[in-house]
Amino acid sequence: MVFEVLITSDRTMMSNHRGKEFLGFVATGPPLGMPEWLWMTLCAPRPKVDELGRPVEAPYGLRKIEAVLQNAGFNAAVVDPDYIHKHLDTAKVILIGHHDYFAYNPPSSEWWSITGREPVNRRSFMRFMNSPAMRKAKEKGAKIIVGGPAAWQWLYEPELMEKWGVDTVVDGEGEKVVVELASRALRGEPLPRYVYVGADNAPRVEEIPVIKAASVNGLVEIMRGCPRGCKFCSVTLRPLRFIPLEKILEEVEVNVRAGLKGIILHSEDVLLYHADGLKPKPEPILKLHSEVLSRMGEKRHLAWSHASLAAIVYAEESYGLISKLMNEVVLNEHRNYLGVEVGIETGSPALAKKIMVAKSLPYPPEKWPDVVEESFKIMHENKIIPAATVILGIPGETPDDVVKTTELIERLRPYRSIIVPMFFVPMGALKKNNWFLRDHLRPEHIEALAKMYEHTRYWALDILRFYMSSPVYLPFRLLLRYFVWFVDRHVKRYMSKLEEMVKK
Amino acid sequence: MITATGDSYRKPSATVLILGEVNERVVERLRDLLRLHGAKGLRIVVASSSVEKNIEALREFFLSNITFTLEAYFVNPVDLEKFTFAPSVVSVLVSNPDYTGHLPEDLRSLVEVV
Repeated sequence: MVFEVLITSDRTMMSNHRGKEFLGFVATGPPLGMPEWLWMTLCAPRPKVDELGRPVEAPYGLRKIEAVLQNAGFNAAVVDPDYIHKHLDTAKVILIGHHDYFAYNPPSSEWWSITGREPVNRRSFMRFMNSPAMRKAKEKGAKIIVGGPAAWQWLYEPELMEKWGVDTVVDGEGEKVVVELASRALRGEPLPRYVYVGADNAPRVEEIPVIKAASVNGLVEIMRGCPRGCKFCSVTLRPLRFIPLEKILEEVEVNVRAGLKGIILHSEDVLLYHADGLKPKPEPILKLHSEVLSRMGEKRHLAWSHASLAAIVYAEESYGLISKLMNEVVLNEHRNYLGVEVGIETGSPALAKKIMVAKSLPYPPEKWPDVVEESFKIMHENKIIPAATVILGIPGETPDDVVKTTELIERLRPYRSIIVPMFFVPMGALKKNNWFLRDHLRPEHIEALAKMYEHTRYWALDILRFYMSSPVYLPFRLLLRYFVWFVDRHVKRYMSKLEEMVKK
Repeated sequence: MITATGDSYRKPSATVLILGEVNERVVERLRDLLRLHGAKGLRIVVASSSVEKNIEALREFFLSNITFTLEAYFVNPVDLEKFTFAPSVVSVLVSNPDYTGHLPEDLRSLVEVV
């Protein structure tokens, strides 16, 4: 079998990250305390592939594009980056997706900014684009179309677009436009250099296809878009759609059949699945989880990609939904925790009002720090382990806002979690603003960074026991313990350097 | 065998042609034109010798659009005749009048020197 349309990415994306989604984030940093090959071995091992280089698991976005193209009759497949050479004689179009092509997104950008060293995701992507197979494909006339959530980064790299012969950059939801572009490319018609997919070209729910093969770590989308309207976020620009339960279950079964060990329910706010506006409703959430888990079996683990802290508080206060869901539906002897990413972003009610006025709803933004603390308490008591983000350098932020964030982080100390700083990157409604870089740090930021590090360091080893409990992970636990030790040794030096820089 | 023709993608139906380098005044006019015609989807065709510079000049404009479908093409002025634009062209913004020689006759009435 040969393919005319290849869908691919670099190694940091095309990996199951050892079945641990969080390890994927390790690829957003520079290799610290170990050589790059070991860093990549830890966080981005090669996936299993068939003889044509089709991976068993592939990034979810690429799987959606594959499904929509196959449904439209294209001879298309997701192919591992190391197997592009096998298809050079037939490939006429190469579609590339990525979360962070050039490491300009958080958290890559702040690891880069703080350490001054290039993150491995950027290096890996550069290697891929400079690889002999990609060069050869271009020489043979293949069209290269890039997209995904980091597509905007190409607008900052027009020289690389030219150098690598990137024909089209697609920014926005790809299901409809990719069929058009692939058709034009195969017919030899001119392609636009840049496409922004407006709301009029966003797919309706019935136009979003079911994936045909497994996604990395069993990611399954349950909603698209977000109603909260935070100004720093691009997802909120998309219309809100709930994926029907039947489609969700089909995708769960695709992953289970492929032998994956877990499922990640993906949404910007899992608890808002079929919610009443911003108020979670128990029935759809309980039904979703019961049905999904009944198809997963007892031993597979479950995670949420994202949930909002206000929804967690409301669901528990109004219906006792979190404790019911966790204790009666999710947890068992094999599933002893649920991981999720959550956004704190700021501890300042004044700043929350300016940039994320609906994030605390149905509670007022003035109560935001209390909502955050209460939600952390609820999660801690119900074995939900959050990886939380805090954004530093949001436009309009004052030193007092940062102090309030630091105070909130101190209040969160008793609750099992990790807290990751994000330097502001202009996205969403704020995308005309400037990047926040190391040069913009103030003493208050250094204090906040230190508090976040202390918090995460305090909980890190405890979380590792949950996260990598199987003996299979022993070498990686040891490697991560070594990494924690290494960072401990060097963090003071980094902080002192930053403080000196701020003084200057 | 391809069975789909991409019909479900709504192609932009208004075109703005730019002859010459993209400058601040061109971007300003583009913002007006996007407000006026954005709902139809906007196709921008830049006829100039420098692709990289023009992408950089249009970056803020592209990033500030969070609503409408946009397609941008960058072509060599001598290839302009290969494009069939009319009747969808809503404006021809000219920053380099030397390039108007490559402009199809029927579009000359839409020229706006910026």
